[in-house]
Amino acid sequence: MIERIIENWLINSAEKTFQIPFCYILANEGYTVVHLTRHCGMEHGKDVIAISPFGEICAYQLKNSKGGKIKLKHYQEELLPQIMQLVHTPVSHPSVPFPNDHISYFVTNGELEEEVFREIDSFNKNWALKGQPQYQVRTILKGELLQKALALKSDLVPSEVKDYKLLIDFHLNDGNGILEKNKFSKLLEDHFSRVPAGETEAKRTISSGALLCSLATASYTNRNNYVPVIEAWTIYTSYLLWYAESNDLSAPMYKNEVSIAEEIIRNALESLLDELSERENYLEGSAPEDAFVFEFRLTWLIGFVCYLGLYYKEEDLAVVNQRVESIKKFVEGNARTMKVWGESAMPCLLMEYWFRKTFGLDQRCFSLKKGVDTLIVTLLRKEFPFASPYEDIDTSLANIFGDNSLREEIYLLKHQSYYLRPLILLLVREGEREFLQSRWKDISKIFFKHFKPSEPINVYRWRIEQGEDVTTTVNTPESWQNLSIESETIHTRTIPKLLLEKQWLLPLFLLVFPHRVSKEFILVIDELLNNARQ
Amino acid sequence: MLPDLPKTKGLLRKNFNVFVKQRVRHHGQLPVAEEGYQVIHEGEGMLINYQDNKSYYSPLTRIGTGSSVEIDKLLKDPNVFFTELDKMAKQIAEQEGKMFFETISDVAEKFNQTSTRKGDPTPADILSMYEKLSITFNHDGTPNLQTIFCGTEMFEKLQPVMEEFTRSTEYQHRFQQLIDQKKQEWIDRENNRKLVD
Repeated sequence: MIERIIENWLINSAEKTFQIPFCYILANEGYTVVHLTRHCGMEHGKDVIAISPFGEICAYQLKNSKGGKIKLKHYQEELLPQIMQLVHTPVSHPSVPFPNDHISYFVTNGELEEEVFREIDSFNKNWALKGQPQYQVRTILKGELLQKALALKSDLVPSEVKDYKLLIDFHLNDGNGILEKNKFSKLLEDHFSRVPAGETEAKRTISSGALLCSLATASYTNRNNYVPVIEAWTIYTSYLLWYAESNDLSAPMYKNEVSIAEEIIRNALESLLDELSERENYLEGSAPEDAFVFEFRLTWLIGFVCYLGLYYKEEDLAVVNQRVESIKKFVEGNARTMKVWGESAMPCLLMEYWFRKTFGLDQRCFSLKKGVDTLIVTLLRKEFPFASPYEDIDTSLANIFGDNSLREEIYLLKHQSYYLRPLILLLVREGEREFLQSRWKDISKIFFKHFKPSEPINVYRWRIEQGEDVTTTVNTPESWQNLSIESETIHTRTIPKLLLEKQWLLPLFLLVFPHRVSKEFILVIDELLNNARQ
Repeated sequence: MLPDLPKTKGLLRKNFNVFVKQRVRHHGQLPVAEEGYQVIHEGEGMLINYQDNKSYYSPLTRIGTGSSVEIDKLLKDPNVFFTELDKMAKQIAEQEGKMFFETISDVAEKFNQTSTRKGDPTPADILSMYEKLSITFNHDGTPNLQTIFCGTEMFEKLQPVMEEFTRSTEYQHRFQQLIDQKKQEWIDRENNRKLVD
């Protein structure tokens, strides 16, 4: 069954879909992937750049054959100019400091017509005759690609029948909606729960986990539905780090794989930003219904693009400046209409705050204040419980729009909040005493919540059995001085080691795992961003 | 096998669950039956930290029950299943009630809120009980007095005591004094809901 799924997925994938697992296949074979493209027009025909275990620079161009054979006309008119670029343009990448001759590969998920084979053969012979064999192009076709993917298959067999069903459900999904993170995490948790017998097995588990992630998210990738793709690869990275930390793997065992996931996430975020910049409006699907919900979705999207802005903070602003300007424009144009569907929206407000702070925009505390006011208004009213950060946007909105049946199944909050305390502490760090003072009577009626896992390493997991749901009452009266001390006391002990090392991941982790919030987590992110700016 | 009907049966299963939950609340007769339910998704217990550095940990406890229905009876009348569900709901409500009072008892002991005096209840005990409680007040100044729960044996003993407590001008006077004191405490608590230096 798994062979059929892999084959079907491979044949029907666009190049951007099979590019991701192709990178993990290379990583599994000992290659270091240094670059993968987003398929924009500046890559000189190189979709993937990798360094082989023998130190050779390899450049790959990936092409979708649309389920059949690549014909001579298509090759000559469209592919040959790109292959010329692939072969003749030197690799230009910071991780490849010396312009060595590279080996060029043409990769397709289909076959080549006999005439195309002959063309490539004569292309190679010509350059060999000219004494420049480095300009030859090698091919990887469907059969070899499938064989490489299937080599990971033995590690990909879901442990239970229900996991098969899950994988098939994801695979057959229409790709239009949101990622069901609960189910998706279950799939990855089962995969990464195995204890590896040795380094080879551990490496294979990491690569096959990526293949599993690719298979499960193919429908979203094919639809250019970027947010589920970003979420899925963030969850994959989280489980990969859990696996690495639990099994005490050395960094070289997983570093390359984490970098590939980071690149995939970055590419998807940039594609999302491009789409948002090009759109005339932000409606999706059936407009009459969407008109009621699109502003909630927009809040979600603001969270992701602001995260992209934060991601750029370490980069050369001259290179990313245009994108940062696009984010600023998008945020300034839409932040005022942000709508909160439940506590899982709070990370989006936090991203907006951190983005404004990092890039020096006006009214940087606007989102923090909006968050506090929204929580006070919604949590203190009796008749309408507010969805906890455990509930996704779709479920929370269904609750808002009156699906009473959900109230038996979802975690709703009354007079309790997971985010109020962290928001207050950030406002204290900003010196917003007057704002807090004017609302403290109401704030003091709300209990502060957080989930405390028995072991920090479990933070990586979507659901944790071992741990406590902690409720803390507010001091009456509360002292500004105490709050100031609390807001400046940064503890990292509740955050797992590898997550703390991957600073780029921390804010994104909060966006995708909103229920893992704690005051420590928020203060650590705030401190890291403060330090990054200095 | 015969073709199953998963959508319809999924809906029916959901309806069975809703029915059980409604009946649990009906049989429960507890204050939690109305508002105190909350779904949580992870963990093995709940910890509450109070501002005086006291805390209380309550582990999650599994409650449940089982039942069986003879196929022949079910074939004759499918509604017989609801009778079984109702029995199960009653058992769950009893377990919930037991757990509720055990937890209350545990908390009360931990926070020194129990009475150890032996013998039958007296009007002074009623007063002493209210003395131990923290009472909130409505906007119109009326107190939100707590509901008194007791077993049937205690209920019979308590009824004449409550009547005496209500009739006695002395106890009513002392009770009013207590309520006034509690109101002042509540006002002080509310006034303390502020951010100071």
